[in-house]
Amino acid sequence: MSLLSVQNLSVQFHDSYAGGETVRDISFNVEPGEIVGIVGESGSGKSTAMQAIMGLLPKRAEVKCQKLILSQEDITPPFSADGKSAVKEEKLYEKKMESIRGRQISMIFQEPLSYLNPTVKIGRQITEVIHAHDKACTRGGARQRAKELLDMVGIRRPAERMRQYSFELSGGMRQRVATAIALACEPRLLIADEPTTALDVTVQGQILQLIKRISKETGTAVLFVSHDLGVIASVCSRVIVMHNGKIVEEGVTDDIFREPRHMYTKELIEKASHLQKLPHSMVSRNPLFVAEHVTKQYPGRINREQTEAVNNVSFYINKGEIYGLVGESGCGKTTLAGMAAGVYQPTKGNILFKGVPLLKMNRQIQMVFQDVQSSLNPKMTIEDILEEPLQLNTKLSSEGRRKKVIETLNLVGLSPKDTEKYPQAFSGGQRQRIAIARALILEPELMICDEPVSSLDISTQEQILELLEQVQIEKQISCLFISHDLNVVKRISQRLGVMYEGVFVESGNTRSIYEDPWHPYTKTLLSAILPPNPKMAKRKRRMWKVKESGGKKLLGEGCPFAPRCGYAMECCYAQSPKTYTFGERKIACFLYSEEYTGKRNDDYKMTSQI
Amino acid sequence: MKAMFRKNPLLTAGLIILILVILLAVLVPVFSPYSYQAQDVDRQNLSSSVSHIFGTDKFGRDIFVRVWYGTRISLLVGLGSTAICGLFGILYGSAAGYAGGKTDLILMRLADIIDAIPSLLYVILITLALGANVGSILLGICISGWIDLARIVRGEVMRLKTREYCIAARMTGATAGRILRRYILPNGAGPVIVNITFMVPKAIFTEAFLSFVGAGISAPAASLGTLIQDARSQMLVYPAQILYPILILCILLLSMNLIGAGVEAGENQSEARMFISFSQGKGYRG
Amino acid sequence: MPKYIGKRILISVLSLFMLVTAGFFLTRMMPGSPFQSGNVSEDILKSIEKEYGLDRPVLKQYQVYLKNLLRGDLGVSLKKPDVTVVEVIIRAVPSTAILGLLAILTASVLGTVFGIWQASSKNKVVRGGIFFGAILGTGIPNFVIALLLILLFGVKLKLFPIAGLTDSRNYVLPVLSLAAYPTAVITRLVQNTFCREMEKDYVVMARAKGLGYRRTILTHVLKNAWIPVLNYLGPAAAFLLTGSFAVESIFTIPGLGREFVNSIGNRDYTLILGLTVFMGIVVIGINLLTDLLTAWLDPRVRRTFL
Repeated sequence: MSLLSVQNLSVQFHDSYAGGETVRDISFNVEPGEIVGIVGESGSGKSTAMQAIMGLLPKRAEVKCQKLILSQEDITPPFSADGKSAVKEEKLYEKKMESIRGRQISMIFQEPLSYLNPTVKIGRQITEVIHAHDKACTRGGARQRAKELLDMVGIRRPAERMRQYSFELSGGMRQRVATAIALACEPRLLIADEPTTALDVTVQGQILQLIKRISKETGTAVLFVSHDLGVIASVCSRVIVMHNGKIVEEGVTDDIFREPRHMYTKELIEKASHLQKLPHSMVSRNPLFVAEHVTKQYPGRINREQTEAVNNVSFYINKGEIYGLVGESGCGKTTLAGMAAGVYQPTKGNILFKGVPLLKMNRQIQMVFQDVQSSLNPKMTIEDILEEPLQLNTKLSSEGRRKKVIETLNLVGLSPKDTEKYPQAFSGGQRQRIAIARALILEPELMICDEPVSSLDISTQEQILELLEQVQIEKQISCLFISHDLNVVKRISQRLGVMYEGVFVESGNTRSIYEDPWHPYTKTLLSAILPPNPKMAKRKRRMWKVKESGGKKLLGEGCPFAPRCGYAMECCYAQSPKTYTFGERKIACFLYSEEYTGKRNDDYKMTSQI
Repeated sequence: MKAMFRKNPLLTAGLIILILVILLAVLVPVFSPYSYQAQDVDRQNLSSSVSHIFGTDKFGRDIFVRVWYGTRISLLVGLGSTAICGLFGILYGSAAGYAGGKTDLILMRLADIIDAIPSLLYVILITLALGANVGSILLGICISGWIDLARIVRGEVMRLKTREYCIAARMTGATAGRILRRYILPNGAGPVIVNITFMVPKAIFTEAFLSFVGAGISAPAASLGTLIQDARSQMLVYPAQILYPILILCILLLSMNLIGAGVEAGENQSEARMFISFSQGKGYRG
Repeated sequence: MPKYIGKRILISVLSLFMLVTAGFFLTRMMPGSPFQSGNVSEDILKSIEKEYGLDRPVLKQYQVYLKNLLRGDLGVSLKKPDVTVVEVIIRAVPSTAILGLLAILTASVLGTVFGIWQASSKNKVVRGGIFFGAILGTGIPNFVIALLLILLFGVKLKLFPIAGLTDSRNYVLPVLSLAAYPTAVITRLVQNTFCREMEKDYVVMARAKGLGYRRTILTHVLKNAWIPVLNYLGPAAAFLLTGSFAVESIFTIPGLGREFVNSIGNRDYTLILGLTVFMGIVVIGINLLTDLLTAWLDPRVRRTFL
């Protein structure tokens, strides 16, 4: 007997409601206690389908469903025609769902910050679910239960946390709280809608383990929605692949990943595996861009959660090379990008571009940004956007400018017909192409790409990466490529640096770092990558041991990673490690210091110490 | 016109009424045989007739002419102060927002200091000291009238200047002026325009209020507020004398408020189709 | 938090100082002497001015005024030499305060109810009606409303008295004319924020928890929707004080507003200035209070204070 059985569910949106994805006639079952993954790109209708099951869609969505059964109870949403009876039916359905939601099925969402009410204390947000479904429960009883729940999802000092507000917690903790809320009434089915997408990779692993553990301990079935094949491969026993609102393939995880039958699934897995490739060719040493001991502090903002400060960072970029920079959100990589672009000046240290200090913005350095929504001025046509830099910096005639614009558009794979359109008319991937065209049109020598693919779907990601690679080879442009995703960085860069809280913890040749990471943090990052392969992904179960920082940050001296590091020694808290150089590899960790290893750094052939 | 009405009924209705009022205010005093100040002892307190459409007041002056003459003053004060405050507010706000840091802090604290006191107090003090005329009313309104706008402009500039397209434009060599003009103002225009349209009725209200409490335009010149105040002594006997200026003042203010609401609705695209926005909330059916 | 309060108080003091300074010099610039009336000779005028210290240099007078102000002394009324300005204020405050409080209370309750009603009603007529009501309320000046109310309820229907403050029924018309504008503003604020808050993700979350509609609104939405209203209370207080100028003189209520209008007519400098300063203090105080209240209601703001 299935726990949940969905038969012929369709959803349509009558107006152009943002985020309204259609669902076309899907049917599937969920058995008790299993974890079923639903995978698909954005717009495939996976989230809409989940909300339709919960009855959470707004009125403008037309939900049609032949049968929706949750453990023998019929929760089919009424198909609304007009008229009195329809209104009554809606009301009855709503009433019924109120008792089902939160008790039988509950849900966790992608961005816990916006789903938790910022003005209501955490404790109250948990206890109110208990009160809503168990009228007899006393206040004290509910509080006790809330404490147990927080304890279960791995939050220490629950009583203290209950008095806090959502914005006072770290991202991972918020998602844990959301999970606690979802589990409050011991539901039989948990719908997790992209629960780890907004989190850092190291935290992602912890939340995934939490969900797996809970499912095992309590026997809760989980419907796990994600766009990330790696995540799906690591947690789910069965997978449903959705594309354009339809289910294109369904089966046991191993089978689907080993031999996908449907074209779309094949393509998806192939694209994701592409990211596993390592880059080729080495470049000769010929530094174009050098950062020496660069520091940027924001005085008076020490208490902020994300200081985005940069502390004593040195690296260089060779001519014609892609240099990768990896780090979690808030580690200071965007600040570093701003300084490299000349937008801000470092508080200490030097930045040299072509051997000359970079004191203001330079036309030879251009930037590509993360957010495709706000990187193009919505009030200017594509032609205006691309022509402006030429107008400002070259003496080309309007004829010549137009020629150059079309040439550049062709280079990034767009048609010259599009020049009269406004940015809103383009998809995310196309906009990123336009942004790249704008950066390229002045023929810069260095391009800074700040998370250029993070807001894009996997298939688009791969296309943009290919484009960047092709342009870089063709034009011999150097590139500083920044991302939170180690997968993406290692796919494209020849050398890379790993950043943690404003410090370069490790840098060197991409291939060697990927094959043999030395720093504990790099190891954590690498072990958090989930390859789209169930065997490999499940083997990652034994995650590199790392603690959650709990929102508190170490101030002053000491290695910033020490509070989370499993190998932290006394000296790690007392002083910050120097940077030790071994050939190409530089590393800031006491494990590689002379005092610790007793080995000289220069010519000694060092290996990973852990 | 019809299409425009369907798209934004509030704005269109407001504009039509306003244009009518402006036409009457400009034309009536020009073409009327009566002057706004000529008294006529034989024709006191007449009721409406063909020769005196709104009748005459206790001095035998034609109310119709006086009302439209007063409307002129209201329009002058409303549009004049909006032009001055609008320009100053935009400049001040953009300067504070774009400069940021210390400059911004000092400029905005200064604005806070002026803004903490109800502006009407300043206006009254100024009209008392500098004489009750249009000039001093304009000055009084402009002392603090620009502050709200400046705050909004500053907020928009702050929000937009860190937008990635502005950074990208700076990197290709665009100057601050160009970025403000081509990138920031077009994208931040919405709330600014809404605020400016609401400035006009506010100023008209201030002027009418001042004249009503006796600190505004004084005799023999007439503003709508003065007319209402003058007619008050005879309100119980000749209610029509007070109702006409009230009617015109309300029509004027309402047309402006309709325009404001229309512009606002047009800005919030989602609600454009209706002021009657109905919300049961995200996800609510039934 | 103490740092924030300190900063706010500093700005308030500076505002007040500016008002006092501007007010002082502007009243000194006013044309016409308060003692001038037909048959007073030059000599007598001079001697009276001497008595009040008006013959001294303006800067000296300013110093004296500031010093007295710090001691809480706002001077003597020029028209009625036997009353001090402070006495006038003390006598006038109760009526104005009661009217103001009643008005703000009416406005908050009616505004919240209308706002939520407009936002959540399925009936187009209700929504349109409240919307246009709000436009009318923001558009029609309070003195016009007062006059119309007198004509309609006082004269035509004879339902309510139109002058004085003897009976509780006396309060109805003045409170209504004062409350109209703030009610309209609060209605629009609540309507707007309510709609916006209802689109937030945490409402979906509340539903996913299985909470009912009423419960969601009460525990989650209302608190957030009220924050802008609270911010509006400061400007509302300013509006009510200045609004009382017209409303109190129309209904002949012995409050601050009527004193103010009368003193304008009498050219009673010290009283004008004294009342102005007092109202400045009240408005600034209320603004400070609402800011602190917002901080208490909204933990996010509270946090940025720290």
